[in-house]
Amino acid sequence: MGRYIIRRLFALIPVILVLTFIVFTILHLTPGDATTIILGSDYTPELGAKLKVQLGLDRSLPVQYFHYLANLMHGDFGMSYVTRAPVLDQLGVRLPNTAWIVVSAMVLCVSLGIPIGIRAATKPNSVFSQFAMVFGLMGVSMPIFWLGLLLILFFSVRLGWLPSSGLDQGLKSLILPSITLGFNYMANIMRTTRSSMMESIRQDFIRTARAKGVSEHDVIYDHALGNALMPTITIIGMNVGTLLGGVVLTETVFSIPGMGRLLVEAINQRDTPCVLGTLVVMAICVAVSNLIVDLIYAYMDPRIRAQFGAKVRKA
Amino acid sequence: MDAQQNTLEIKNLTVEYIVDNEVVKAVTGVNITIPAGKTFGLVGETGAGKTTTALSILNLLPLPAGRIVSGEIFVNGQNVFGLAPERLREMRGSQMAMVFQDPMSSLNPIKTVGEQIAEGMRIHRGLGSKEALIEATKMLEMVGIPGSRVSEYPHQFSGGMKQRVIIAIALACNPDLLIADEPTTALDVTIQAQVLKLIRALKENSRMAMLMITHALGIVAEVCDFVGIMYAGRIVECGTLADIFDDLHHPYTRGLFGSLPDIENRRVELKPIPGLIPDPMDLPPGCAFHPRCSYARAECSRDLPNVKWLSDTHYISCHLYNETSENKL
Amino acid sequence: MMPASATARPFTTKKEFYAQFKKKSIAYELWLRFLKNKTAVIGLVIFGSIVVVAIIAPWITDYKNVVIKMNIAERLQPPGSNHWLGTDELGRDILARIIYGARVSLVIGISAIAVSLLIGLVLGGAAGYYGGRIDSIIMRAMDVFLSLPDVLLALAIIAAFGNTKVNLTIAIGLAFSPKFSRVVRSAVMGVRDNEYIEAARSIGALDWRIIARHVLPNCIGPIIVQVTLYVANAILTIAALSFIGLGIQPPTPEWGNMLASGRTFMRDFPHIVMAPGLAIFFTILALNLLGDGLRDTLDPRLKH
Repeated sequence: MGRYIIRRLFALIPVILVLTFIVFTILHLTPGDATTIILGSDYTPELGAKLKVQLGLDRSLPVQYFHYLANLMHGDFGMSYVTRAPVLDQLGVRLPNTAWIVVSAMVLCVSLGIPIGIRAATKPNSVFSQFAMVFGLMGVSMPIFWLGLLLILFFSVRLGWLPSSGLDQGLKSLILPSITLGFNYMANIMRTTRSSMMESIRQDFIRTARAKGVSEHDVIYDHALGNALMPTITIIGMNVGTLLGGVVLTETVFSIPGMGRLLVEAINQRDTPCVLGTLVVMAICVAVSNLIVDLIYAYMDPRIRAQFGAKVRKA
Repeated sequence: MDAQQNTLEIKNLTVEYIVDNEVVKAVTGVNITIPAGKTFGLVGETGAGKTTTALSILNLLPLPAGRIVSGEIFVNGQNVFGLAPERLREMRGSQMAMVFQDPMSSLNPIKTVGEQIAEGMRIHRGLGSKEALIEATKMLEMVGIPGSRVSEYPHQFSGGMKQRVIIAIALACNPDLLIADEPTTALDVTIQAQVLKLIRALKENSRMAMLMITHALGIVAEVCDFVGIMYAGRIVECGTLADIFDDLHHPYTRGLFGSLPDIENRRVELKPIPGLIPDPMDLPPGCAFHPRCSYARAECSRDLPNVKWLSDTHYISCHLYNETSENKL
Repeated sequence: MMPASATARPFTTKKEFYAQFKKKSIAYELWLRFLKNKTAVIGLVIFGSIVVVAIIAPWITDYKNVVIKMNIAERLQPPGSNHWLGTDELGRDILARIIYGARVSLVIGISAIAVSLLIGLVLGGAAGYYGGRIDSIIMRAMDVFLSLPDVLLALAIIAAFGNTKVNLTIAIGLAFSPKFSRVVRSAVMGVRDNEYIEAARSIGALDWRIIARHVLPNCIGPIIVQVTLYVANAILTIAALSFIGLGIQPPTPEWGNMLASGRTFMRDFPHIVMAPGLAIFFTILALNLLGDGLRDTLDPRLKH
């Protein structure tokens, strides 16, 4: 298993290379000029030229890219054009805020989505199941930025229970953003769990288990669930990226100074190093979470474990 | 008194499925009795209602489509339809067990074969995990798989070995009744022979009653004591092995034998039964076999044939024998 | 939704058996099956009405004088008989802006998906049909793009080229194309090895002809379903980009930017964020219902 992880981590390198190359090239085709951003609209040509040399912008694009990569290896994301501070410092400040919302949204979704999905699948004709289906459909159709506004209107403006912006009130200020961010995600997990569970219950091996005299509870939670969770885990992994996309919106709605806001601000200010840095970090996050999902998958399914060449026999 | 001696008694079983609001008659008025230690072969084409009969015994019909309309099934004298769910669950696996048709999909892909064999032992014999696993290893060896493979997963086994694992699961708690639903259909010929050998050995070494479902008459001849021929949900002829193989009376039974190649006389042409088994949603009136029957008479398309006992063990349901017991074929 | 039990039976009825061979009116049969699916029909009706309203918008209301012209005297009026959905912070009729907003969303959403479908058909089709080296090169490249969330990919493209309508369309189209390539690829792989393809190849048909005449028509089902679901996604993405200020710019009415500019006033005038949100919600809902229904109709074995 260890070798597999190392192999997967190495496979990340080309992904990051290509990604940075594309983003780097795109962003350097930008009509806006770094010198104008930093120095304002009127500056002497000498000053501009000096700054260009200082930033390395006088060199050709491939050279610039190579330098960027070389610095990236050392954890140097470059200097922000706007704040003149290292991008890494900004990322360091913003990342924890984003991590808080993402993690709490994920916990919320998994801990609600999966149980609701299971229950809806085992009692397919119940009122609960019908309700879950309607809820699920609404969930995947809901624009989360609008949901965020509605939650603010109700819980902050009308009831005054929860703060409408920032993260400075601890857990309390995390509730609305994580519901907002996780709503689509939860509906997705719920729907997937429900359908894969229904599929799983129909399988022949479930009949074998029942014929053995396994109790209905164990049939569902031991035999069916283990198999049904595979598609759910896939969905969880596939949507981590979508969740990070949603971060941009959630942070906008709740005015949270996180990575998403940083990206939008950087785009608006044409702060190329900052845009690039944020995107790279987000891509790494997505890649790492996909890796984690694949590992969980491999842990749960012996057929996939076998493909990894890991030892299949349990101790 | 009789009920005590017979491991399985199916009395007048009728089962329907509701599909798209239409009623499908899967099994109608079936009676089967199997004494301890004996094997009953249930023979028929695909769709005749064999599997439905088998699933009814375990009360495992697919819900909510399947519905038992009437009839009773006694296993060891207990009516399985009258039992509380918890009692029924206790009987499944311990008193009655089933070997399923498709070994490829009948094992849980994410549990080791050992766990799957041991599970029944933990439930019914109260064994701890370790003891059960040791017992499971023994079972695995009994069905001819090295015990060292107990902690492997189903995908590491071939089809024939999976089927033997399924047999091991079924036998794990020494059931009084084993239902084998086409246990060899999905296997290739050499593996079939091995599995049959295993089943025969089991039969000889225990008092277990067995319901063997198959469409292969060769298997019936090999392992069965009694035979029932099923067509469109009904048993049309039933008797001892000798009754059916040496003295068959029903045109359909004859048709089944006519479809077999004769190894001793290769020149004889095969006589397949013309036509297809009828749509269970739209059964022909009267005797369901009459459209395909070369002996069909006027009353065949009008009235259901009655059951007629030709001897103590042999009965038939055919209009040909309304007036006589003489073999008309 | 079909009951789970319908497939859980151990036989095929004769009716079903013969139904496989009836070729006479497949489209008609599919239509009948679709009509049986009530939720899908509801989706079609809602989406159809939105499309119709978007088309006839110029006959309903006047763009220059109603949709974008400020009218400070009538600002922030609640819903009433003059303005059914009230007015916004600049005194413009919200209903009129919603109607014109539909035009923007639908045009960009549908053309963006047309872009990604085109890219997906070419790349995914080639990868699926030829397999081997070509497949692994194309799919590796797609995996790189897939490692960045599509909203962020669209953001990066917009960051570089600016946010005109054309750029937005291309950005969203590009951002979704990796997913389409995958869908097309797996659909093509599903039919590639069938014998009728083999037959076409054996009589010397050219590759592009086989792909266009034999492969694509047979994998159109899953592609249609994905198109429906991704148009929803594209519309949502436009609204999201506009909401964070990087999409359609005011005064052009777009549901996302209506929410963004109304946000400031929603504490006292909640109606201002209700209509645009509901418009997005119902459009996405309709397309999801339609997509799910099409999936059940075109491939009854796959139930979700």
